Amino acid sequence: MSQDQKATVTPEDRLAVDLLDRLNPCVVPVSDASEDAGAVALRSSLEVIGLLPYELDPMAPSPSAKERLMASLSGEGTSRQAVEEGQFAAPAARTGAGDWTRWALPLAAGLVLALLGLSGWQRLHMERQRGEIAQLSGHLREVNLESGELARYRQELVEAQAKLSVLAASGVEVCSLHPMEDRLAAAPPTVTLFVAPDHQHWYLRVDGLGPSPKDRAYQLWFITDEGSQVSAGTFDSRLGSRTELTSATMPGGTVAVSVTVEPLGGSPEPSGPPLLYGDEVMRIL
Amino acid sequence: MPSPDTSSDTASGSPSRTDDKELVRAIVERKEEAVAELYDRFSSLLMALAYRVLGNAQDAEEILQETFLQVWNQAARYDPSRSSVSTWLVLITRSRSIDRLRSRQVQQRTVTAAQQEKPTSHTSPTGVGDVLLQERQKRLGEEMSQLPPEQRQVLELAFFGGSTQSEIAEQTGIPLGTVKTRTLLAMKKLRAALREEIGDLL
Repeated sequence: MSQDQKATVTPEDRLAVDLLDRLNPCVVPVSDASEDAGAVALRSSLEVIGLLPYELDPMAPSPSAKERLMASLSGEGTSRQAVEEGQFAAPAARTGAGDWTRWALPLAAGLVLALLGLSGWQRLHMERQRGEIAQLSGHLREVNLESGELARYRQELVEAQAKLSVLAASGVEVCSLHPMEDRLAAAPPTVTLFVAPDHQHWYLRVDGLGPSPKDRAYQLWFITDEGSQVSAGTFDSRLGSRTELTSATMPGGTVAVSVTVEPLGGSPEPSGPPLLYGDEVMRIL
Repeated sequence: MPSPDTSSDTASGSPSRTDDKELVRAIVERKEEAVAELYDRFSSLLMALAYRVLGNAQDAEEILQETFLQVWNQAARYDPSRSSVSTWLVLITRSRSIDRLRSRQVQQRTVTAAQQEKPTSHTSPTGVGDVLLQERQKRLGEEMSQLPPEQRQVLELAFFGGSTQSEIAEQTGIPLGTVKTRTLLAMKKLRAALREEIGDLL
């Protein structure tokens, strides 16, 4: 600890720490040093952070990774190189010392015929290869679509498992969020937060809230016993359908939860009074 | 391979090498070869970063793909006055890696280096092009090893683990004020020690 307490702390130092913390989501800024520090200090602190991964041993991606990336950029994963193959070279005519005119003309005619035949064969071959490439491209697109769907299903499964683990845990805590605005009093939405006994995993269920105003989003906040308001993410809602959020993290010392209306993408801290608020917890045995 | 912008190109003794910022400008003009060049320069650094955060080579490679696709689609958003290309790429990769880590609900993972095991199928690149990367890696390795372990720990949890200072305090049982002080001192030391490298990047 003695080392922790040495050295003079400048606004630039505080800015660097602030920046590092701001890089992480769900954070309320802990100091206002950035307001005092200049643009150069901001930039140099950012570059320090950008240098941090250089301490790691470089790690080459698999050789196919670059090919896949470049194929994604050009929008087609199949090379047309194969089509361009199949070039052939005509044999060079040999010259002799004898009476070449007797065999040169038939040879030339034969070569022309051979060239025409090869050319026709090549055209057919290229057409066939084009067809195969188109077919393979189609398969590739289908595989890409399927792998995208698979990833989505996998994500949904993970979310469902997380939800189930919260709801099925014994000792789960339930907190209802109540409307804080008159306009919601007539038809209050049902918004319930379930918190697992580990006080980390949580699941929020929103029914009947209705859509957020144009170009705005609902933002969920955890309020800690220190008074900090930590963002848990933004969401939208539709009348007649259920919105669900889940996560495996919750700030320590959370004592209340609220929902505000914020610009799309969320705010670092609530910009107005809460729309919904809850601090009464009921434990289910 | 990672490099700072113009100034470090000169320092490397390869004046014909295209500036990182010029590559980004070429990407804005939809030149695929510029993405390929940027990928060659930074992929091993960014792959190592994503792997360090996620602990899984397949996930890290996916993040690498997503990062360069984002660069391809959003290169026009890069602002040279705000950061170097290197830092821009590092922040995109880190942000995507942390997002994935959180979405998979595994951020409780301890990110100490000792627990990371690299797959043998991936090897570090070699060659002249890696000289700058190796130099910078050596420099950062030296400076990080100079930090007291407790300062290094909070820095790594914050950067590679995506933890906020409050979360670090919870995870380690260290008072929040101490976490802040340790982070602050670590950043202060690194900024002083890496003044030259930062100057190259500005």
